[in-house]
Amino acid sequence: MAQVRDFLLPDLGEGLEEGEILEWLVEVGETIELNQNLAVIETAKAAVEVPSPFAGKVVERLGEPGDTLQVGEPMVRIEVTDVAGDVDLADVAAAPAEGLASAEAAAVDGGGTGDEAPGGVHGEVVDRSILDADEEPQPLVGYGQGKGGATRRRRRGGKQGAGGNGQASDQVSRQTQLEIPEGKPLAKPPVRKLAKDLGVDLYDVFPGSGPDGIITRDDVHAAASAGPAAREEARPAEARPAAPAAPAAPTPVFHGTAGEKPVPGFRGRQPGEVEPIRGIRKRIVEKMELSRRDIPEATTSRTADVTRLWELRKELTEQARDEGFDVKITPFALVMRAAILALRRFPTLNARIDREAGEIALLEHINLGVAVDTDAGLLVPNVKDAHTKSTLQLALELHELAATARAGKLTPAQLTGGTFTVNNYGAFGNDFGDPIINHPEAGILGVGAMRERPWVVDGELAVRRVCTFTLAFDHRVCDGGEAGRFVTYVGDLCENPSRLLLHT
Amino acid sequence: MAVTMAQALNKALHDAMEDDDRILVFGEDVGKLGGVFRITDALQNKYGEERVFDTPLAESAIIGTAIGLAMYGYRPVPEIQFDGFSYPAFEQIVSHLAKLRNRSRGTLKLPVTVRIPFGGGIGAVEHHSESPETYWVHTAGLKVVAPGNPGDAYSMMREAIASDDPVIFLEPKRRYWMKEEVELPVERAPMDRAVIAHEGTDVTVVAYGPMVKTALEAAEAAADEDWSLEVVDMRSLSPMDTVTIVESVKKTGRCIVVHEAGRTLGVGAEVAARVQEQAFYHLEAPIFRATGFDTPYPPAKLEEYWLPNADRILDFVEKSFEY
Repeated sequence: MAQVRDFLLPDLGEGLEEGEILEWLVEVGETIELNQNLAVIETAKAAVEVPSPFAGKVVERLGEPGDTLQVGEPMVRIEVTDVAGDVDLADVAAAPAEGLASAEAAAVDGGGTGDEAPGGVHGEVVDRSILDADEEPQPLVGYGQGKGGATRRRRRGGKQGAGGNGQASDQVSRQTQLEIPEGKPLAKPPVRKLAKDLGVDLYDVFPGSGPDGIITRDDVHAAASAGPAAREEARPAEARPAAPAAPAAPTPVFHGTAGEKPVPGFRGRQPGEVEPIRGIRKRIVEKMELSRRDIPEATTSRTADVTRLWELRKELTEQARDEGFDVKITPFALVMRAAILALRRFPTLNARIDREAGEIALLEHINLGVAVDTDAGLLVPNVKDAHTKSTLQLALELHELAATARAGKLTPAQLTGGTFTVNNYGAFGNDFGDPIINHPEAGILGVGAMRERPWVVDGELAVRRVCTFTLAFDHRVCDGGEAGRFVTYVGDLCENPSRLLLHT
Repeated sequence: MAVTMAQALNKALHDAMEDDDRILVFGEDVGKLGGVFRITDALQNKYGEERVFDTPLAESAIIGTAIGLAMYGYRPVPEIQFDGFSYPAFEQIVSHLAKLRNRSRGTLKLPVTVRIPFGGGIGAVEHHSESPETYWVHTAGLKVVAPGNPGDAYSMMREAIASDDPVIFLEPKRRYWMKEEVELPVERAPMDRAVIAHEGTDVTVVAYGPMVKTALEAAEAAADEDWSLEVVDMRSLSPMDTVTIVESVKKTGRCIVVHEAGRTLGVGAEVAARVQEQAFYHLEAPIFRATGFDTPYPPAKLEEYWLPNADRILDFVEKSFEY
């Protein structure tokens, strides 16, 4: 027996309510397998491939690329073929009702058994034997004490108890009741407390993984281990498929001159194109606006002679390779090391401000964010507990994070929970920058290009490799004195990289 | 020695009257008969008709008399024969007994212990199974207590009689025949303290008076399900020992309040309010109330279905685990 079934746009998670069809992966009339991808759907957070829950023939595609579908709206109609061992759909439809009925019957049975027991028989509630007339006074009023509660019903057990119909309807709900809770995040008080203690905004983890979108402890812990910073960018990365999200361009586009590698971040854009603000771009827009709106930031810079650092990184790379580590100790990794030391010395730059609570919390751990330019847009993964890691580890992690980011495979944990960010715009050849703080962090260190310049050494002009470090800081949290000394300290450490050893 | 609650209360009255000749016991049938539940058994024989006397069937007058005697230095222990007949004395209790200490700015002591057998479960006729505690708890100036076992009944009765404030002493009449191994006299925790009647870790069940035993039955039954219930015996409804309850809920994260009285504005509502106020961040589930219904107390043969039993408590326990 064949039957046409609607496949509804499923809950895409993260509280997303709609998605845009980027691309159909199946044709009408095509016979598809179970779990075959039907389409690429882009939400505010990511482009995801949506697999089919049915095997069969595609009868209709309900929408064209560019159309927006609400979660729960039909997306594809599939003629489900009669597969051996498959359940007859009529039975499936009938099953929930039967299940419900039998569950109710069971409940009634259970109740009946229990009700009979207390008095032994209905109507014989009186049980005078309970009174010991020899020892105890006979009451002058009433039949005497009943046995209320002497026997009890068998429990149906934990969560199943409520599930008489919950269980039965489960099969139905999976495909047809795709409810995403609206409004406020739901969470038990202790989970709220936990979220508050861990600095997790419930709205960031809303809806949760519990029933009806209730936020669980695990949700909060997951978010907390990631941290509040770039949580929202985090999710899409996880879901993002390896394939580029952008639709194939109709005409050839610039990918760099012949022989050159494609330019990262170029994303095949063309003049005249109008790009809707959505997906990751939308998050970036919101985040940047939020930072500029919320944070009264100031900047301060220091230019340093990093010649020795430049040389040192070559040595370190060779030494690392000698020891069997296939890693490049980049100057940037050494700057990260310097930043970590500076953050320990000036902890107000590794801090959180909570206006509602009226608190500035100086954070113990340093999750050092690094801005990575990817095809999908700017992403800021972070090195967890960077303060506990060696330079070698920092270099390795930096390399991995950047590679993972460019491959579009960052996990939410990697993308969230940063406490301070280092931004290497020097990699693009820029000397100066005015980095925007990655809200809600308290500062960001911009690293300019390390290039040779005329430099005064001991009153003489010399050719030295020079770099300008710029710190943007939240002036509510950190004063100019600390900020200025911070960036100077970073510069000093980079000028005399042997000092990095002192504290690591 | 196994002692019933009735015997413990009788003994408490005997011992108190022995110790202090200002103590007077009176009410309907308390003298010659020794009370319908025999709580005042043999008191009249021992202390005479001037200290233990029968009154007309007039509850307002019984309490009015107690107030007057107290103002003159006696320590009356009037009995309202049944909970349902405390209503005729309501005006005397809430307007005068409860207020005179305050009205006299403490000049007058009101050492009156109003004994009220309360609650259902004995198959009585109407007016004989009421749970009026909320009325008294809501009235400032009264202490309201309800023992949950014979030892507490003794200890709390002695303390109530010794109190210079008026005490509404609610005796759980269905537990008059409940036994406990205890040597009397006994001194238990102060009557304004709640106690942990059964330790547990999963759910706090708060009960008082007759429901303490029911809650303990539920705790025992729950063990079969691998649920660990902690039973808090409130003992005193006013003042309410919120600390003990809240500490327990902080430990378990879940709370069920149990009483025979109807749910709406019952003691359970107050407990729930205080717990959520003081243990909000510890609550894993809503606070549930396993109570009687918001209906008139039913005829005797239906009371089994009306009164909370272990099952009703466990139903809520189960429900609370769903969160």
